Amino acid sequence: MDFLLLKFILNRLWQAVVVLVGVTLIVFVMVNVAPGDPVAVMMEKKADAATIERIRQQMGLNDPLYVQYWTFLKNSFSGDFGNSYFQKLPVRALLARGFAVTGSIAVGVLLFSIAVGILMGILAAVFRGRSADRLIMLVSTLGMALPSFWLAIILQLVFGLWLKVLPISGLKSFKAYILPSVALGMIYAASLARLTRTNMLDALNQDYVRTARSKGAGETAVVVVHAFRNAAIPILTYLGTLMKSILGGSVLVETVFAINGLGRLLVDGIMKRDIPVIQGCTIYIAAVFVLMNLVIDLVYGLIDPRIRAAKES
Amino acid sequence: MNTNLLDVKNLCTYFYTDEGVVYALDGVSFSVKKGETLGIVGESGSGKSVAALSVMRLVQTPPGKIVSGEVLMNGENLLKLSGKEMRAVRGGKIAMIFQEPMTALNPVYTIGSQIMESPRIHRGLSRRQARRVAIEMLEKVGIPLPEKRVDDYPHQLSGGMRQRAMIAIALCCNPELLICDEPTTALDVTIQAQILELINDLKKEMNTSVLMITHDLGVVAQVSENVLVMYASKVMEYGGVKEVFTDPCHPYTKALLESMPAVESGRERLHVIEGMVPSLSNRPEGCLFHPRCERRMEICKTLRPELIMAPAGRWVRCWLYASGPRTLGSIERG
Amino acid sequence: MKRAIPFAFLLVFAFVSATFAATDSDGPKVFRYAYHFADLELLDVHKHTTTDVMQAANPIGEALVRIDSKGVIHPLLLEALPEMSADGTLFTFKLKKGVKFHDGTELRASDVEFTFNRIFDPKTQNLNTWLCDMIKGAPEMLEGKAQTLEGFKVIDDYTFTIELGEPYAPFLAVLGCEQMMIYPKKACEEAGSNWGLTTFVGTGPFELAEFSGKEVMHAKRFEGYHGEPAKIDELFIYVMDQSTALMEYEAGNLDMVRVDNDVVAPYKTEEFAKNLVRVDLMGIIAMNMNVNMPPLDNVKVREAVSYAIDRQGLLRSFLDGNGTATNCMIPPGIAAHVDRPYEYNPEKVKSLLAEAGYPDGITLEAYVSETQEVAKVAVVLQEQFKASNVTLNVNRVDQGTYVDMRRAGQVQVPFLTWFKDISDPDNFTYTFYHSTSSQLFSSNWKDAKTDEMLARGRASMGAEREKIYLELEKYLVDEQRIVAPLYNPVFYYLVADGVSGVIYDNSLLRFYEVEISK
Repeated sequence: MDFLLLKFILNRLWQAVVVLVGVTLIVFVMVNVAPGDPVAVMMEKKADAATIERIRQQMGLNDPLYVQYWTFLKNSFSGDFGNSYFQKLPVRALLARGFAVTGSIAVGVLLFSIAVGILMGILAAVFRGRSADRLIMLVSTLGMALPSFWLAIILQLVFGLWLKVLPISGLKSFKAYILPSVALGMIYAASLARLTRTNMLDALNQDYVRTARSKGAGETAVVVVHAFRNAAIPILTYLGTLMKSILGGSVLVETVFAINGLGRLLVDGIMKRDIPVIQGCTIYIAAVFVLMNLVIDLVYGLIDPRIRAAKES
Repeated sequence: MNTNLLDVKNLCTYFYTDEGVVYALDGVSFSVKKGETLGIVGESGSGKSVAALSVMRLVQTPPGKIVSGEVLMNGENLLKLSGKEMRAVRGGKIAMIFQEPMTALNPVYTIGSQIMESPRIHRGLSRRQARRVAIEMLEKVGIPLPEKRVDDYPHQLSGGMRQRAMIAIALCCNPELLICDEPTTALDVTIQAQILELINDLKKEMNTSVLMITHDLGVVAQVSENVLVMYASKVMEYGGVKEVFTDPCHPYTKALLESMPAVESGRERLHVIEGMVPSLSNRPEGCLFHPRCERRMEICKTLRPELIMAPAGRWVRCWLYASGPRTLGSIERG
Repeated sequence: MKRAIPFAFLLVFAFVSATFAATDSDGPKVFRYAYHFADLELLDVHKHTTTDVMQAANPIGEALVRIDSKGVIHPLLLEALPEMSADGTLFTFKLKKGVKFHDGTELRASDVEFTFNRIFDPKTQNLNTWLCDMIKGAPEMLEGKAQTLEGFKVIDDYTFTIELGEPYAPFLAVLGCEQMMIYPKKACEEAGSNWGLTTFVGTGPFELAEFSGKEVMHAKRFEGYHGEPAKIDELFIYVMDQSTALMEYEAGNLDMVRVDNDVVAPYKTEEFAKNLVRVDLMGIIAMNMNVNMPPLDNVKVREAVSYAIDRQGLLRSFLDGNGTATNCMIPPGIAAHVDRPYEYNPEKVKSLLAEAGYPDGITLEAYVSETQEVAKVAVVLQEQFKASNVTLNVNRVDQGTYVDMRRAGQVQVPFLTWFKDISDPDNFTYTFYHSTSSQLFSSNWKDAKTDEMLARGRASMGAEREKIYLELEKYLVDEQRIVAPLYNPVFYYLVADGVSGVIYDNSLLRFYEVEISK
């Protein structure tokens, strides 16, 4: 790795740290300012003022805010976000467990969106104006309009209950990843199809495609080798956006498939005012964003030689 | 006896758009002999580029369509070939270089790999063999340090180098015909001369015929044996370059020659041809040039002239040279 | 050819009986139940207040006594019910001998002592101490002034006594609560912070095989159980969204699924008649009125509002019959429950309001949490009240905000959903209407007479006790009109063919008598 590239990465990582610290401050303030006392929520209706006070004291919730924030920030640097108030487990462990689930589904979503989305987009561009193109665009519009949890339930019903070929819930087998990946990935596949189509049409209109044809290259080579390679660049940026959003988890689809992913972790945490969980999840999401942006930039440089040259200069 | 390598007969290419039919090529005919250069000149919109694309069958369909005519190469009509057969012709028997080398080259692949593509398609060479061919070609077109440059990307080369690379791509499979569509228009004048010289040298070395399409009369004069003057989708004059340029028959050709700025002439203002090129979907009646012609007659306004052999020994499309109000063959109505 | 036919029959017969034989003696008997538990995050009943945790912990751990569906208390880990001293403050217990924990150790008085100390140890952060903090020395322990519980004395390995600070009639019922289950000293200390997460040991008919928070509790039959062993080999309790659970049930992957009232209608048909079970819950849905916020500080206004409620209409239309209308704070199955009359009369509302000085009607503000079932009830009442010139604004907020407001005593019309903690009338009255706690339920009722009656209730027993609560109810509901009880809820569950023995008592489903015959 040459020096300039290293410098670039280090600079971005430093920026990332600044962003994350900023995020911790904002999250801390918001969570403590919002109404709702986690201990009161824990106690539900058994509201005994003395008990609540005592437990707040023991949990450190009565310390001045700046003390609480400093403790939190200090510990965050070593990855210790404290223990969940409700689940009594370290937030780090909950995040790891949630990430294992959400991350593995993310892979499935990525594969599905790429396979279906990009393929459909290329076909729509190649058969532009004809019935195949119209059909693909219609399905794509539907795909973007359907709510993911509704689609999830329908898939469960058709493939799980009626046809009995795929599991209705859980992630115990490889097959179990299929329905959640499709339910979550449909909207991305649909947008990817549109994006790919637009970029492919653009690329196919370029002069270098005419040059390729004038060399006697077959249509497949023209589409795949010449046009797609150029169209792929903005598509890759979109894939980065897709990863950012998927890695945050999706509470609705996770609920339908009874999966313990990061979406449920965060939403349950917010509803119950589980402050350590909320803080841990938000920092994780911010970190994912920052890292993915860095990765996209680096990959961009790898695949587009013009950008690589600009960076190196 | 030198037979014709390329014979284009009455080629008609129209574009069917939402605004109407655009008659881009309307009954164009010409031929090129082996080892010969034919220059095609005309203003923008005259149809010269479309003529080149039609020969290669690279016209965008839809909306374009080669409606009628024949394109005979060594006697074989290219318009009747299947897709697969035509692909073997493109790059193999006929190659083309384009006006803008920056956009005509794929920015994400090295020039080496773009050159290698042709021999791998047409001669079935392996990667290593094709790479060797690529380096050879780079050397032939005069690019220094070809072993290093073969891995460069288009944006790393200057304009002149890129055009040389394009020529390398076009010639690496020894095509019989090289079509050059305004190859020097985007380049500096000094580089222009180098490129033209290169094309000439290679043409002689490889016995390639050349179709040189340009709006620059100077270029045509420099490299061609014959010249085709096109205006608004039709051929106006066709003959040997020396003859046409020293003694132009068609008023349009005359006007073009007069428009060329010459330092010795002492003129202070450039000669301008009045009017504008007509819209190809809404063409005037009679001779297409008559609205701008200094020598127009009554008949020019109503009847389209045919291409006839003028007394000077050239093909001309002008009522001035018709032996009478009617000529051989049918008369086109406007 | 003729001989082939009987031979073919023989083959088919053999094949069929082989499959039948196989299904008869196939694998272990596994019982799978699912529900969308919101709070099944751990098993330690000291750390949570909801029935979600107790339901999952119940097959594994046991309390000293057991209460059946009629409210009768039976000894479970004891040889007999404890002896009570004459002044009602000292109880003497004798443990059953030979009771084994799942880790093999025997239940001793030291384990009971350990459990009670753990309950009041501030480090435990036990949320349920209010259940039993009338034990002598409990407040001192909670404040950190004492290290052990003064009121608990070990006499020998199987005998111990508990002394209360003052007489408290519901104490025996308290001892039957899940939150009082006995923990083993050795296993619990060794597990440390993993207790209730990866390790959970009790004396129950099932031992923990695996627990994953918010996902599943998996238990196996405990062969060394001190009572009648369970008839199933394995028990799974899953956390699953309602529609997913129903789908899994219909696909045959679950043996039992609880069905929420708002989705149960399609199952009330002939097809499911044998599988759908309706259970009366020991709970009450009621509408409190905040006596600190005008116009509800005027008893005439409160009286008027109580006539604006159409309970029958509510049950018929919105609740679809899933409930029992009531005007009594105490649900059936508990002492002092009685069918009290109620009336729906919009005209009476208007005339009472006019008398109170509101001829044009009144506007009231209700706040509900979006996650509460009762939020929808509030909206139905909003509609009903229109006929009586009462405008009820229903404000939806999130759970955290609602709890905050309610505890600060700032909700004008709070809706109360209460399920019993202890099978005792005190649980349905003291909690909300004693002057020390009424603010927390936004009732703000501070009345000396009420406090005095509640204290007397705690100190007496039997028929005399019942009389006190009947009188109290009449005072609070009919005279002071500080609350309008609405209905007792029910719930439903679907159970697969061939499964029997599911019991519901003392607010929890019990699985130790479940049998599967498929």
